[in-house]
Amino acid sequence: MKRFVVLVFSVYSFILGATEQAQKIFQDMAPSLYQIRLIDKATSEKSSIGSGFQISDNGYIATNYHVISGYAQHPEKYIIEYENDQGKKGHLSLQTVDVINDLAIVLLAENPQTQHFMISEQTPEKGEELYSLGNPHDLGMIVVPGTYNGLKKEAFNDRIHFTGSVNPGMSGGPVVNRFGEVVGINVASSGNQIGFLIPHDKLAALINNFDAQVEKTIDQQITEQLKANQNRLLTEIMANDWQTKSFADASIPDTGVNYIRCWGDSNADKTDALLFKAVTNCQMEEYVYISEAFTTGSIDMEFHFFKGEEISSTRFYQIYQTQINRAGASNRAGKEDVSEFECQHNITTDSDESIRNKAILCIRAFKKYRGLYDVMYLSASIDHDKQALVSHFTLSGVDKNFAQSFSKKFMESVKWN
Amino acid sequence: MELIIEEISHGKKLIGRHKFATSSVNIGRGFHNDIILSDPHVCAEHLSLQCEGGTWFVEDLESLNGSIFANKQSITRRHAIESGDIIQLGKSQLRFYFANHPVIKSVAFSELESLVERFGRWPMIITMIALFSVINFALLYLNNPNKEIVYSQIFIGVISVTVGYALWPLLCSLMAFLNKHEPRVGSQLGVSFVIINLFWFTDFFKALFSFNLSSQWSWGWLIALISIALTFSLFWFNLYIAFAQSAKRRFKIAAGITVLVYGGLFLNDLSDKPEFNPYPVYDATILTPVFSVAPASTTEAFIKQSDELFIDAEKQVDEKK
Repeated sequence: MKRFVVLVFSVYSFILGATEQAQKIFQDMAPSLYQIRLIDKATSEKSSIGSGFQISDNGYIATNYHVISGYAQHPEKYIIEYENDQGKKGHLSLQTVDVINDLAIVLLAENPQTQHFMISEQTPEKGEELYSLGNPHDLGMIVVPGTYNGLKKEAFNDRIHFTGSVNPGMSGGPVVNRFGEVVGINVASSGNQIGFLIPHDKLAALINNFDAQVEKTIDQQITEQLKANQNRLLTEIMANDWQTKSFADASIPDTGVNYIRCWGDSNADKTDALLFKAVTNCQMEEYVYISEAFTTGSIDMEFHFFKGEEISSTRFYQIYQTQINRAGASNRAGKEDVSEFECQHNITTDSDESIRNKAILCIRAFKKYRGLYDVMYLSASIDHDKQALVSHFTLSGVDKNFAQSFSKKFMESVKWN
Repeated sequence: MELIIEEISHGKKLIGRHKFATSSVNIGRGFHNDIILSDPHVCAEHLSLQCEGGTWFVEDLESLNGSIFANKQSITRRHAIESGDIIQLGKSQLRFYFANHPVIKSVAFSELESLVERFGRWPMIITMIALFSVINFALLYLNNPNKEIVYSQIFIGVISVTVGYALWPLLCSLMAFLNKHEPRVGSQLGVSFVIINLFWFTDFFKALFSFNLSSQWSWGWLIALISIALTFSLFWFNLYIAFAQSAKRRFKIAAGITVLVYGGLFLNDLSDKPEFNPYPVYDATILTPVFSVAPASTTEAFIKQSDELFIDAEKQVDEKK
């Protein structure tokens, strides 16, 4: 019956213009839209806001994980509250999360209204008009029309590129097609008219796994998701045949995945520089958000080349040394999230002895999500009198096997030409 | 019996010494006395000493401020004195010895003494200070990341550091001087700079070890031990040159200052330590290829070694729970 209603509704809506369409959708769906807030128990004030939408007749509401991450990390500190279009407020309970896709499902247990959003079964066409719903900056529910531009290129985890204003506070709100079906969830904005959405199939998958997920604690769910995500990421990278690319007088690895992007710079334009310096920085421009103070799931690589033919070797090495003593992790993490780094160092060489390095490897362990580690590697070549190569990478949230196999592959693929 | 009278300071340091073969000695501010004290609290005729039948007696001549023995007993009537007695009159102190008073055994010129003497000669001092300055200069020069080096700046830096380091031995000499000992500026400077230069060598060996040895070898304690030993010997020599103390007392004071210095550094380190350090702490020491003497580890061995890191990191998580 419901499907029939939607069908009739969609046939009818074909004849309406975009603006009227937006108004219509908003009017129809407003009762199923909620503002989601975290209320700090100590002060009874809101500490974060976002949007959410009902996805079933018994009160389940979808939103972004990052909207309720404070509660997921510190349930004793916050309560999750909703406010509907009538201004009615009440409590919500957290059911399940998907930190990789920034999704969460919460439950409105007390007398939920029954109207809810349907999740689309189809992916939109490129150029299709979509409508983003949400409550930007706590200004009240609005609807923003925009265009579907396909999936974001060069991304490891799928995100829809949406041309339309997704503003803070709209996070967790639904993006619907002209039939009012959910095709994405607002998640991030990249400035002017560039918004990012989570594809609807990620939400569908979370709903399908719901029964199995709710059996586990939130921490267990997050641990499993982080492990699965790093497994997928590193399996793909390790399976690739790493090509080497030329960098100054050396060759450095190219992992062959398009979501690790490289940028370069050098001081060739600075005539008064004592050393010639060149740098290539390759990074994944996405990460997994766990909390304000804790991110993970990214890979960074950095290569520095130094050359100083006009100065003595001793002076070259003194200055070179100051360039390598301040490497750090690329992800944010605090005392409650990770241990402190444990480091080792040694003089190493690759299997065909083409380069001799002082290599440093540091590891820290995740505290809540056991079995995952952050890795920091730095090596400084020590076989040329007046030129040097520094190779560096960081991995966040990987297991021991991948940490070691990635390190090994990386170490073996940095060489002098 | 011959009587030896020493004028001594409050710190028991000798100011003057007189020997009398007579049978009576008068002490006071008046010019007719045998010992004339210029202390205004001493009367013109203050003390009188007489030798009767081989015993010396002391008598206060009803002086204004009186005379007292070191044990606080005041001299009201005639007292027999013993060799080694100290009498205070006014603000002055006198010590009395008989000619047969035993003296401590003579000290032979030690190896140590001749070593200190040798270090205290000016060619040695100049060489050591020059070595110190040259190393300092070289380090400042080598670490300068600019193409255009302002040499005058480096010179000023080196000179001020050298003067700074020289203040310590000079201070020791001043202390000795104030305590009525020979200042021995040369010996203080020479010995101090020899030891300070030894610290450079410790630094060099530390860098050589850091550079060549894998982190699995723990030798940091050895360097720490050497540094502490050098610091202790610096203070010990400073005391040896400045003051005539018993070996035990010198050891105690040198050890005390060393503990104070390293204890202070340790406490400072402890208070500087953040509650949680998000940055890795690693040893980034590198030297030129010439100094890379240890064999290189293979990638496999290096990765295998990292098993320990995972165990240690997990241990941290378990401990802090």
